Amino acid sequence: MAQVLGVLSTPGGTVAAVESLKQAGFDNLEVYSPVPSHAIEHALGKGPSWVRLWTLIGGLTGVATGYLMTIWMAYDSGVVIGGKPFASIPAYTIIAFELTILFGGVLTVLGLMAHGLLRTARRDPVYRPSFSNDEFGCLVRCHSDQIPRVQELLQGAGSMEVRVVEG
Amino acid sequence: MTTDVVQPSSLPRGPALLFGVLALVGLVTLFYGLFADSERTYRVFLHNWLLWAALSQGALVLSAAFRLTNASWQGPIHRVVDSLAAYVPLSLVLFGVIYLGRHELFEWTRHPIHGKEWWFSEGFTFIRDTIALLWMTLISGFYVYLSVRPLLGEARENTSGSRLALYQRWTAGWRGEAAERELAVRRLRKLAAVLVLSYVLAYSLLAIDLIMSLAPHWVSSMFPAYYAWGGFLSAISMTALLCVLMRNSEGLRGEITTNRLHDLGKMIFAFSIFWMYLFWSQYIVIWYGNMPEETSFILARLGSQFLQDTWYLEGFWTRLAEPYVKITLLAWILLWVVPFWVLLGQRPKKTPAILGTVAFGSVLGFWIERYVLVTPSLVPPESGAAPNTLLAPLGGIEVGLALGFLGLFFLCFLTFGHVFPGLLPAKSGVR
Repeated sequence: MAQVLGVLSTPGGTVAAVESLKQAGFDNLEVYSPVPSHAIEHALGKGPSWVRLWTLIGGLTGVATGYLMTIWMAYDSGVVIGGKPFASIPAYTIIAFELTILFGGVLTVLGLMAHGLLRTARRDPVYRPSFSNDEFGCLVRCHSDQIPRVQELLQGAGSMEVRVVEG
Repeated sequence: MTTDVVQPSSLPRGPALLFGVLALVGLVTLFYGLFADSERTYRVFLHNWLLWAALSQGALVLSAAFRLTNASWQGPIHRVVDSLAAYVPLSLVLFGVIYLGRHELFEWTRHPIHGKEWWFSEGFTFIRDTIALLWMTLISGFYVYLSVRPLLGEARENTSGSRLALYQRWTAGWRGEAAERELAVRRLRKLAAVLVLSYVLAYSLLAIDLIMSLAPHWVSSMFPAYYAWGGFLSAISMTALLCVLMRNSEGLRGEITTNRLHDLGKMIFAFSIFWMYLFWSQYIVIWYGNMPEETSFILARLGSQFLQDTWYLEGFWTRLAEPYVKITLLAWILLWVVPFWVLLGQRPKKTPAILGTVAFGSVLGFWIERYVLVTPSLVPPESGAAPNTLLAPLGGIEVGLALGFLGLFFLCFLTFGHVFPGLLPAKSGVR
């Protein structure tokens, strides 16, 4: 499998490149962008990120922990407070609410790291520092006899540089 | 491209006639009710007044929030929001009816409350409320004037009659289109801050004087903020509802995009959570403190179920059948449960039918909520006259007055669109 990289200077150009490549049937794309862009995301047509699953797991764990921990502690200590019963749901809702947010937030950050940071930590032959500064990269994976066609499309979308990447 | 100037148009005959008839129904009901059962009529009038006054003023606060945050996503929705404020002067006029009914409504006008005599006295209370409403009306009028003025310059050329006279008066000292727009942006940004702060102060005051004073021994420092916030949220729901309903009307066609619906949905979702947060902050403290002078207010509305030591399930159904409980729960479901769970996902927010239904439920929920805030203080649950089913409170006076307020509100809305036609559809050039 060959890899072709086009280097672009604008988000609009990147969107155009992605769209023309998709239209020509090249679906195995990867985009490097210095800024988050809904337009590029939309053009790539990738589904929602898996990070949100971590948020859900964290939130549910948090709400369960919040109620179970407080109820267990109340029964364990056995001290009646304000004439309320041990399993005093309204009061524990606050703890449950806050642990929902805490666990959800922390797991979201961990999920982000797992899905994002750990991936780039692998040596990526395509990445270059300018992709975090002022340039966009559009990487196309295709069959080796399709290389000329991909190069043509990337040129047509206004790439400053198009090259075939080894590996 | 649509240009941002007013275009002559006529009052849409069908809706205007419908709302005119509704307003007339309200007027007839008011006079009939005052003779038949004046206490009940004033009570129903008060809770309707509380809904619509806060809603129309809350709409202008939303408009001010757009300006303060330099928002640009709303586009022509800004004009829908501004038009909702057309009812503001009328709420000042209708406040007079509440003054007339003060002896029926407010126990403290007959028996002063010990320790609060100076705060709740006929003169002081009503004078400060009137001043607050007068100030809100003046500042709102000035706000709308500044907001509309830059759009009238070009419109002067192709209009005639009384409208021309108004346009000329409102564009006196015209500095040219570009300069006017720039000036409006600068002035409105300052005025918006004043408007928002005034709203918070004035409507908190009204909440204390017109709702809390109905149960004069009850205290909650959270309640005024809760009421004022409700006005803001009801305005957002009304805006979303109107945008969905009018999305194919002249001028708004093609402007209520999926992204804008998504944003409106996000606003209802987020602010309904904050409404719940305010309610809960008030409730948890009262529940935990368990002091009679605080719990009485919630006990009269949510019933004994909710002031038990905890939420035991035994006796759930009999407690649910206590007066007002079902009505209160319905308001809560419409205001938070439904908006939260339905609008949680992205797709429901972007679907006009779903967003519109939730927004309608939210507006209806606020109508019920205002009823719940007022009525149990005047018709205590133990009085025997208190309703314990959902439809029991609906009599001729309730329905008639509610329709009347609805008619009046939308007559104002339509009239604004008639006097300043094309403002609704226009693109938001002035931000």
